[in-house]
Amino acid sequence: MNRPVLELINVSKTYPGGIRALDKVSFELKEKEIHALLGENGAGKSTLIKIISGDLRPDEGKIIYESKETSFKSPIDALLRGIGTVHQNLLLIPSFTVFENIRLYASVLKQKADINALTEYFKIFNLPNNILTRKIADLPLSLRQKIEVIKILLFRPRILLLDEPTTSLTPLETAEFFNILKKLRDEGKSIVFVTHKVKEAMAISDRITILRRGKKVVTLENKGNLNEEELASLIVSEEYRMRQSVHNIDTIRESTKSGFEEYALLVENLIARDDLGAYRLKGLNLKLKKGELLAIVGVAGNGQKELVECLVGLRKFEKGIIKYFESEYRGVVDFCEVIKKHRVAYITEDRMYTGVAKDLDLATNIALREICLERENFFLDKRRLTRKAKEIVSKYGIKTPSEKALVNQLSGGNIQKLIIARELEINPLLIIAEQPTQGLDVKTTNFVRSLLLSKKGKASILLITYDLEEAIMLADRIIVIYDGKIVAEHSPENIDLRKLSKEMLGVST
Amino acid sequence: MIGGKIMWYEKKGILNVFASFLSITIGVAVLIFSFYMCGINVMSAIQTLYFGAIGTYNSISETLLLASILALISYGLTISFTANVWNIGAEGQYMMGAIASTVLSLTFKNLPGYILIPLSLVIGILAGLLWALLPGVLLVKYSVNEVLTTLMMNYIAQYILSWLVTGPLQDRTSLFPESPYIPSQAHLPRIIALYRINYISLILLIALAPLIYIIISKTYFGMSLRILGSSRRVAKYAGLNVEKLIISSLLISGALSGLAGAIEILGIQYRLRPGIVQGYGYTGIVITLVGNMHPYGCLLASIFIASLMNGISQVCQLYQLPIGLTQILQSIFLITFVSVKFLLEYLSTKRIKIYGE
Repeated sequence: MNRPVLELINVSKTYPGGIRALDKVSFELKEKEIHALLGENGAGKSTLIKIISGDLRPDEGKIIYESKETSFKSPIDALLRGIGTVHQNLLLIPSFTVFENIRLYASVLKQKADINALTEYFKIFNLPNNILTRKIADLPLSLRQKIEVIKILLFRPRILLLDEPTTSLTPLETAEFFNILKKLRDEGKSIVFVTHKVKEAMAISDRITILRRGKKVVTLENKGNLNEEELASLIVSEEYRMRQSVHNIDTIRESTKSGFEEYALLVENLIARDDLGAYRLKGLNLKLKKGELLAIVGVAGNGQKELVECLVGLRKFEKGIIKYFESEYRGVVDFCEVIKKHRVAYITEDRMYTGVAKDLDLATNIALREICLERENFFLDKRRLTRKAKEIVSKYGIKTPSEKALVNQLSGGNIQKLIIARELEINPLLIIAEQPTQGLDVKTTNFVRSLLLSKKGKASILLITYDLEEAIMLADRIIVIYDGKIVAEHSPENIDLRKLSKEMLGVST
Repeated sequence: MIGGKIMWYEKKGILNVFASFLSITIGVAVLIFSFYMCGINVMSAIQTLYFGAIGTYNSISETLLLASILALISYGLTISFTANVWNIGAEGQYMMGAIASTVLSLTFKNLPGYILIPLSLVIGILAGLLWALLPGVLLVKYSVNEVLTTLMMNYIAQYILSWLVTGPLQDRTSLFPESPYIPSQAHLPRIIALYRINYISLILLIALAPLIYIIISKTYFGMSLRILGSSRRVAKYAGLNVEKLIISSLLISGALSGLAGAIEILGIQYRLRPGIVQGYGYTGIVITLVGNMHPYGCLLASIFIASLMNGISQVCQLYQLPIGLTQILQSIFLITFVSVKFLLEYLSTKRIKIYGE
């Protein structure tokens, strides 16, 4: 039996403003174990991690580390004493090389990083050595993630805290990452793995602690005997069962299915380059029928981003036609005109930096689309906009003190609700939804999905997602994007997952 | 962004007003301390300061006159700073406005005042606007940083002015580098003949503040500027024509600076001299920031700083102190304001509460 390295006993934390993020939570981490911390957004996972990593101090309760009661002054203090944290938003400087980032971090901590260990870790993480001189900005997210973990590991922590580490990874990369974690565990590290994905927790962890609304529900041993649905029902609150909502989604889907005749969106032979000048779209064709939900699946980086940017007028394209209903565009799309004429909604993937102006208030952010819709007006109708903002806040359950609060006071899930509310409130005829449920908890995910489904029939929906399950669950038709082209089409009813993954990876069958 | 990112239209006003007052208090304290350090009688210096600033009818007139020039510049800067476009070139735009209106009123000497005055003001506006156009185009077409280009355009304007007053525009009867006087019908009509304050300055000083306020907070254009100021990415996402907005914010601020230059000629100097260049464009930046990029704040700050400038110059003359004291004071305002605001913001973000987490 491994002995515990870290114990939290009856830890509570109340944020200023009265939100009780943690309520007498106890948590135990043993030597050589991967311990998953599972819960919805807002369950208190991040707060718990912040307390362990020294970012926050608990209002009450004890922290026992290496058999002694202790408190951590700061994250740096915690790291130097053997607790390393890998944050969800990676803390690497894009314009610096990998090596420079590592050196910088070491010098900030006034510590000699164990540079010799670098090669060793590069081997474990399956990275080529020459990556050291590459700039972070040139690396894909999955590699950055690995670099960030290595950066922390160089300080030889006993405990590794990982906050939602798989958000930006594809399923394949996740599997690889899990193998690495297991290797690290076998070498003697203890790992806390924060996630809201039940499957991942089941796949990786030795034990799972479930948090719900700031309270610990249970800690389970994971010996391969856990049931996914049972876990899910432990995560979500009593009144909102996941199964029920899945059922709802199914019924909505049946009821809105109908024949399609005309096209809402036509893309013909679209050719465009990315920011660095490389061709990313190589003659892409796409037809979205009226009232249909079409999902585009594929591995990230196959032109999804550029396609969406072309569609919403953020990128110029060299050849091809984009046609919204009867308006045809060449070269570049005037999206403002498209919004006004055809009521097209766009839910962006980058909700934190593109979807909202964070230092403006909620009401202004909710009114963002009015700029295009009310193009010919000069004066704002402040009273109407405030009324509408209030309406949306209550209708979509956005948690905020008032519609005058700044958006940077909202959590990620709340911001996504705001964006979706804003986009759907224009009564769209076409919705372009780019990864609408990425990083959201079960409850918000279901909320977003049922919102999308409720618009189906009235609106055509183009869903760009990396989540196959989501595509199969929601779409009428699934198309596969690979290397800047649409390579296959499937119907979700009788889909061959093996064939689909081969198409996504460009393996010829 | 200078001075942090919490803006007046986000209902954080109290924090900003506090920062403004604190910086002004510290600035004035430093001023009084410097009187003391120069070994002059502090009480009588303060008395002189008061009379020079607002103590007599003439000083009130002078203060309002100077305030109107500074306020015009800072109203324009408010627009461009709101859009996160950092126009440092108000100085040059002001000079071009002054040059253009001088040239026009000297060329059409025989036109009646009611045509010549509007014409001169409009040409001043156009000149300031054109002077801001090049940095704007460079910014949107080639992403050349506007801080550098607008700043460098100031020196070009400065040399053009020096060349004009020593060359083509120089008054042949004068020993100094200055142009001939503009015709008297081009002088802006004074409210009271003895005092230099004129109708147009006063009207612009007071009436433009609410106008700018309405534009920024109650129109789609203003909302677009605010969104652009918050994030260019979000502005693009919102479907705004970012290029057009950036250029128009620069043009508006250039136009108002140009107008200020025209008024300096038509209302105060009546001829083009190197002496019109007093760093008003830079003072305008200080006023805009200390005024929290709020037009009413700019109105108050411009009156306050104008009165201080006039008062200090009296003190300096009387006690033979270096006139650079004004510049020192302005810099202190700016530094304390920015640092106080930064500090307050830092303290307030520590207490910030995230909703829904």
